[in-house]
This record gives sequence, structure tokens and C-alpha cells, in this order.
Amino acid sequence: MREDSIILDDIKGGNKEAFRELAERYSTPLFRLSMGYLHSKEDAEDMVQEIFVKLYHSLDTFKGDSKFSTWLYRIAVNTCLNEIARRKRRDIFTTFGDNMTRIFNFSGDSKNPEEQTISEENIIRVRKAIESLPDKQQTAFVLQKYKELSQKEIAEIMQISEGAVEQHLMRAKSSLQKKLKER
Amino acid sequence: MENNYKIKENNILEDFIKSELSTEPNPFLVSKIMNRLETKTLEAKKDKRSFALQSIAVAAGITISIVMGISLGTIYTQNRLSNTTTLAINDSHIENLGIYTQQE
Repeated sequence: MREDSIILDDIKGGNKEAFRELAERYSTPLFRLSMGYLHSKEDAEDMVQEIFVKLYHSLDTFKGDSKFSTWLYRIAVNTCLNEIARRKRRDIFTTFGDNMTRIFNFSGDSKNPEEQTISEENIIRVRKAIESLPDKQQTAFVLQKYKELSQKEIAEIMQISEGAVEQHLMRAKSSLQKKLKER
Repeated sequence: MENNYKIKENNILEDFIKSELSTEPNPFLVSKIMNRLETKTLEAKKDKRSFALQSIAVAAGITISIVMGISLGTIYTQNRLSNTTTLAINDSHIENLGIYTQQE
């Protein structure tokens, strides 16, 4: 498996097909990251495509000060946060409609109707709880839970100290517990 | 009791995250990415060309307006001057009407 820096040099040299190699390497990790923010398979796939288009047009700006993956995740986080901000400005009924669609399209395992209702209710509660976190707490939470990154790696991506990451994670956890307790 | 609630909430959260992590992306996602990139690159080229054409059209429009304005202005000024010349006739050359109004 080639190093990221070698693939990048290849792409900058004009070999567009080398970009496919990057896409193959990072599409699934970015999909998981996007799921952490958007909680929808279709939206996460759209987001991954958007991220790679942004990446392609920003390659010249990569100076090599950090690892390529760190820089890529930074782009991914910013793109996801921008999308979330855009959605918050949208009509509330569109969001309500999406939630209803998700509930009725959700194909869980074989549960009886009552269990299924409780399960769907929990899904909405958890989603809302995660979405209501402030940006930095949500980012730290998603990077830890969905990408299983260490606090050091999260700190590099978010360009903050490890102490700040720990703070954000603690507050996120406390906030989520509080929100999930509410009925 | 408090601990039970915390455990229950953690379980709900962990189950939710686990179910999202088990979602697999479309197996053709990479092809979709490459197609989208191609589409965006072509759109960007088209945008550049149409922007250049638009700029040329606007510049041409402004130039034509200025030229037409100057031409019209010149024509109007020339016509005005000719009319003024026509009016500058010496009245003493007109027939002396006093002949007809003199009392005998």
C-alpha cells in the first residue's frame, strides 16, 4: 500500500487516477465520520462525495505540516459542520418530514410493534441529543466514538490541546446523559 | 437507582452508535466520487468560458452605447447649427412693408 505522500505527488503530477486510490482508502472512514454528524446513509454518502471534491480542489494548499489524514479529517469536519448549520436554517417541517421518513423506512430486526416504537423513539432521542451538542463537543464526541481516535489525534484535527479535548468529551458525555434522562 | 439510569442511558447511546457504525456505504461510492469530480471539473470549465463570453458581451454593449450616444449627439448638434444659420437673415433685405402702410 503506497504512502499518502507518494499518492499526492502522483496526483499533483497530473495522474487523476491516483485520486481513486485515495478515495478507496478514505471513503469508508469518511463515511463513518459523516454518519456521526448526519445519521443518514444517503446524506453521509453525499457528504463523502462533497468532501472529496473539496479535497481535490484544495490539494495544492496542503503544505505537509501535519499528516495528510489529519488535514483530510479537518476538511471533513468543517464540511459536515457547515452542512449541519445549513440544515438548521432550513424549514422545520422539512426536518420533521425527514424524521418521519426515517422512522417509517427504518428496517430494524424483528421486534414486536411496541418494542419497535420504543426503539424508534430512542433513536430520535439520541439523534436529537447528539445534534444539540455545541460544535466542538459534537466533533470531539464523533471523532472519539465513530472514528475511535485518541485524544492526541483529536487534538491535532481540532487544533486544540489534549486538555481541551478531554473537557469537551466530559461535557458532551454529561450533556448527553442529562438529555437522555429527560422524557 | 441513579446508576441504573446511567447504565440504561449509556446502553441506548452505545446501541445507537453501534447500529450506525454497522451501516455499510454503497459499494459503488468510489465510482460515484470519481463521477462527481468529473462533473464538477466540466462545470467549472463551462463556467469559466461562459464568464468570459459574458464579460465580452457586457464590454461590447457598453462600447456600442457610448459610440451611439456620441453619434446621436454629433448629429443633433450639427442640425441645431444649420437651423440657427437659417434664422440669422438680415431683416432689412425683406421687402419694405412701410410702402403699403403709408398714408397718401
